Amino acid sequence: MNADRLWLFLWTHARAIGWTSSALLAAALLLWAGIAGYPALWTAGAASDGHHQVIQACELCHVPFGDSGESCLRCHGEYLVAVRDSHAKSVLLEAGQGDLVGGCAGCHREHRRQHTDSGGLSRPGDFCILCHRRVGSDRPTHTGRDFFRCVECHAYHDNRPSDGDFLRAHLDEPAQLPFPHMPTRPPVGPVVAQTPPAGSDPAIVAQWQSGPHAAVGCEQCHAEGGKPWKSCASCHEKAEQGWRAGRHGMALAAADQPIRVGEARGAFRAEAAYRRPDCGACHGAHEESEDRDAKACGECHADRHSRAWPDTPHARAEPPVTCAVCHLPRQADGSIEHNQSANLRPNRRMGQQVCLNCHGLEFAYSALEDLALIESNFAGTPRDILDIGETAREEP
Amino acid sequence: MAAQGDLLDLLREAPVFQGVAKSDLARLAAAAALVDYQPRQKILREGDPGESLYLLTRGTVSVFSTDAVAGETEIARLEAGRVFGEQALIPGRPNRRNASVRALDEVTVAEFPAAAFHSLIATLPGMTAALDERGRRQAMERLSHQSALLADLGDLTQAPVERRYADGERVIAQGQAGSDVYLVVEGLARVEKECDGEIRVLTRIGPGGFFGERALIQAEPRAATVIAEGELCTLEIDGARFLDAYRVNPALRELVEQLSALFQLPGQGTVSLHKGRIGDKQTVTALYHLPDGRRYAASRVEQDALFRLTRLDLEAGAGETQTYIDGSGGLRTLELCAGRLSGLSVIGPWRDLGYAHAAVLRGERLWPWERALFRARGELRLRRREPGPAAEAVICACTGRTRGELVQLLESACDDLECLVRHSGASLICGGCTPLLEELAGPADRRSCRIGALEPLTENVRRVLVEPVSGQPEHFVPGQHVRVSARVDEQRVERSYTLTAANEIMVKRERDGRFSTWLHERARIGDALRVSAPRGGYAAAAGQGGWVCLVAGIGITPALALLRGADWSPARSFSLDYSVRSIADVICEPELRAAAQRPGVEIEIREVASSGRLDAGRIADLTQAHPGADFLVCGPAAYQVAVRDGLRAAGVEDGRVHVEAFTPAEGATHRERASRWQTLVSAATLPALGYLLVAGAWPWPARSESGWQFALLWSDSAGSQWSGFLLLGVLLLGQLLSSRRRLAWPPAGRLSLWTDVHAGAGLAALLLVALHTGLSFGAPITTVLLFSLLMLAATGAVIGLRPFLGQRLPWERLRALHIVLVWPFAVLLMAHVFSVYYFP
Repeated sequence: MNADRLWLFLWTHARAIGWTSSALLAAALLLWAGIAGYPALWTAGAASDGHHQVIQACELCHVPFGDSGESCLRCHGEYLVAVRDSHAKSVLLEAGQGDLVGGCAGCHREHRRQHTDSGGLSRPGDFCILCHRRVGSDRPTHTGRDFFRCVECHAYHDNRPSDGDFLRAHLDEPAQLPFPHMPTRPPVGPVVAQTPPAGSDPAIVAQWQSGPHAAVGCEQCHAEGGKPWKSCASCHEKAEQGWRAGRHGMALAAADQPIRVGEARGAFRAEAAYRRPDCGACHGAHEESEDRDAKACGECHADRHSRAWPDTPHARAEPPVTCAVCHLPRQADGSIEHNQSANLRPNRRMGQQVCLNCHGLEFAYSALEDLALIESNFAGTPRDILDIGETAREEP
Repeated sequence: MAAQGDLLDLLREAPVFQGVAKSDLARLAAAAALVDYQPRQKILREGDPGESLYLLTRGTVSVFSTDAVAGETEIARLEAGRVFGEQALIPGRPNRRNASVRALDEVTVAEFPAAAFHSLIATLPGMTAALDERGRRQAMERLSHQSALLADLGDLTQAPVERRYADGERVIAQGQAGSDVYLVVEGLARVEKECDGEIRVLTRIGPGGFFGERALIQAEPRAATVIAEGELCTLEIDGARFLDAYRVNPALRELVEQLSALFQLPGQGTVSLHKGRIGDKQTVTALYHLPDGRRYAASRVEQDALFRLTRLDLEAGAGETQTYIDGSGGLRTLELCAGRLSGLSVIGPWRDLGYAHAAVLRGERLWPWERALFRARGELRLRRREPGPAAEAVICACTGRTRGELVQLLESACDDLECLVRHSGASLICGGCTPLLEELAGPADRRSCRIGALEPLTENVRRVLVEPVSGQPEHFVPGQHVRVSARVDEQRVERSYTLTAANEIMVKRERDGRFSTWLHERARIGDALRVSAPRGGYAAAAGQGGWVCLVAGIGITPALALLRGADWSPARSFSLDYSVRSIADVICEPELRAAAQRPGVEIEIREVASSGRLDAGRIADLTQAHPGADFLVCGPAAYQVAVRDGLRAAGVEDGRVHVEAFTPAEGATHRERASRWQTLVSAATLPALGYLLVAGAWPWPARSESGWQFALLWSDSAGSQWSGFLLLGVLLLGQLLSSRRRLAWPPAGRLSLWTDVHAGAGLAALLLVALHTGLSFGAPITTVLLFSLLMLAATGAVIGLRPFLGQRLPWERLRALHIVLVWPFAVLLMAHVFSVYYFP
């Protein structure tokens, strides 16, 4: 009888069937748990600093069973286009550099924190040697230079601050420019005063009416429900985009809230552990907020660079050069770049964008090479003044 | 009167003659005589010699058995067309009718003379077997009837009162009026009678015995006094009820007369054993009274391998049956009631009957797969499992006797199998546990002996005197050996030893040897041994021209027996070359020195360390000095090989060389099985494991031009796929040992080869896992995965080092752990591989 034979087969192989099916089931359960609820279970290793905030959102980078090579470009593509990356894939293919062409992951392996530097590089720092081996013999100015130090002058992706023409345009400037030229805030249009609802707190009404939001009715910000940054974004769309792109808002890509300070990597004040860097963390809701910025940053940030600021020439300047001046720079169009990470790598980007407003190029770039000076928040002068002119003038 | 043609047709339709050629049957039919019988007239009488075969052509007959006590019991009614009376005619079986047959109405039978029947079955080879089979089925039917009779006896022991008496306590007193009947469950009851002021002990009643029933049946005062001898446990049955049942039920009378034993079951029920007869065969019927009210009857005809177990408190035919017929005429039928086992009938041997019996007693459910198995193979479980070595392991499922109880009986009351069976009842009911009992008590043909002396001869050799418990040691011839067994750690262990005298053996302590270790460390004078008759030995003609004994170590024992066994003379001389590692290892040195003084005896003790091994030159000298002698070679395997080669080289024909092969029963086997490779690999695995655990992640290559490509093995996606799949391949290769063990695939190579591959794969896996991970283990779950691999490797390595670690570790558990650890490893590995491709 067929049924008998089936029963007998099942019974004689019961142990094998039991072991195999229970193992398959258990493996499936583990996978399901990892995919559906608890990705940390299967995360292949700690995230790099850059992706720390989005590590739980596997699907941001991984395409199930697919090619994840293009995922990086979803977040970083615009930047690479904007900076005219000279190491684009096509260039590398021509150079025959197979493992670099493996894509971004050729140099930026994720989940290898112990092998990844703070810039996200997960391979030895002398990688330029793989293609530019003959740079010493081809260019007399580079003879005998150390391949580990290429990045002091050059950047792999964004080389604009070291562009020869740019450098030559700024040579021979004094350390301190006689006439600083900072972009200014565009004038705020005439304020059409709104009437506050009856029974409002007079102190708050006064703050509101003296500030730039006097023209905005209460209900536009105090909408029912929704996230606070949503109401801000209804007017400050670009600012919100910048905020989301930077460390303060990037967790929104993986969660529905900005990261808690206590979960972020870096040195922060312990009492700020439960705060989240949303709009209100830096900006007052009702009052004029221009004078808040240095104070606001210090409420959370407790690294040496931040703590050193009050004792620096930047702090004593009039008007003071606050955190925001460098890290949230005002753009040529008068708007504020809210992605505070945008000009950090390479840090000459900040030099180009901000420092050169007040300082000469050689002085500024030299300061940005001096890690101790950066840590002291530029409390002194650069250790060495680079002779950028010598190389820049000789090179095409 | 029926015509010959009708008779032939009837014969052809009879089941007995299925497949018999028409011409043969026609010859049989021609010899028939038709006889008419009146109603109630007897056609056959039980016990009469059988002279003819009968075919019923008209009317109905009743087949019945007659019993002095029970009267007549009808077994079957036969209608026209049926054949009967053939059982007494089968050649090789008793020529007696096993039942009576009586006409019920007007009957005509065709009577065939035995001679015609015999000449018919002589031409048909399968016929005798088929008839035998039929006979056994008939006996089975009788068993069923007997069981049905016993069903009426339920009242007897329903809720009997159990009562205990202390030593010397009186149970009943002579002259008193009796009201109860007593069954002895445990202990002894002494029956005394006072006659003319003098007390005489009439008898002692042991377990299963009845007393008190005579007073009841014959309505007179107690005829004797019964006193507990030692602690006594009885079941007390209400006299009036017993008497009622006894009066109305002749079968109860039979039961009381046949009751041969009564045992208490561990589950608080009782089982009583009754001996009876069916025709010329002995039957044993066991009645179970379980505390929940279920009653069973188990009947067995040992001679015919018939067994039937039925539940008595159920209506007959209430359930379904499952039947299995094996190729050799065996038949097994299970009876089920509401999906649960309620009975079974077995014709023919069934090794697992004990288990089936117990399953029926437990009323176990028969699952669909069990039905399928039974229909296909006639078994209730896939593999027979022998009870384990624990004291609580049940040996006899029918009586519930455990190993502990039986061992206790063996230690206190019994020396042999027969006594053990009598006292415990084990194996009496279904017989399934007989081999196990033999293992416990030793085979039935062994003599009970005691250790008479235990004295050290050297550091590692003891002389053991084996004294029969009764009688004289058996005669032996030098060169013979005995099988000696003892209970070591609750299990019987048996070994062979050469006799050096009729009651003397010499035992060398073997490393890992259970028996020798026991004899050396734990045995005491007076401990029980069971010893076979002397066996083996040389051809009678051997040694006529004298003996040359070339022996080494404990191999001296057969030579010693020879030396002691004869008077030697220069004409028939005894020459001994005895190799020992050092002089301290010489056995019986004074005796050998003294013997060397006798004429015709020549003894050389060779201390290998100083005088070198026995070499070909010395062998050649000996062969020349003793041209007609036979050669005895005994020693370790290498020694035997060397000496045999030497003898061949010296031109001694094989017929004159007697090699006493002795190999330790165990111990050496493990050492031999473990190859040097396996040991080496296992030993290397442990430090590799330690390295993986403590080393921490390998440092990142510092420069692009050195080490970077190597690091790609674990850091790069393509590289880690290479190392990962290589690792997977090695793991699967190692797994082939398991598939070789269980599925005998791959067929090539010996098992030891696959053990070596297994060990090698373990070490290689550790190496590859290092390359695959760079020793940074990533996610929590992959860390657990790695840890389970390390555990696998650790247990595997320890198991591989078994030859060096000896008996100290629980090997079976370690092996089980090693195997069980594969499960989590496989789970995590599957999930790991899947997750890596899910999140590329």
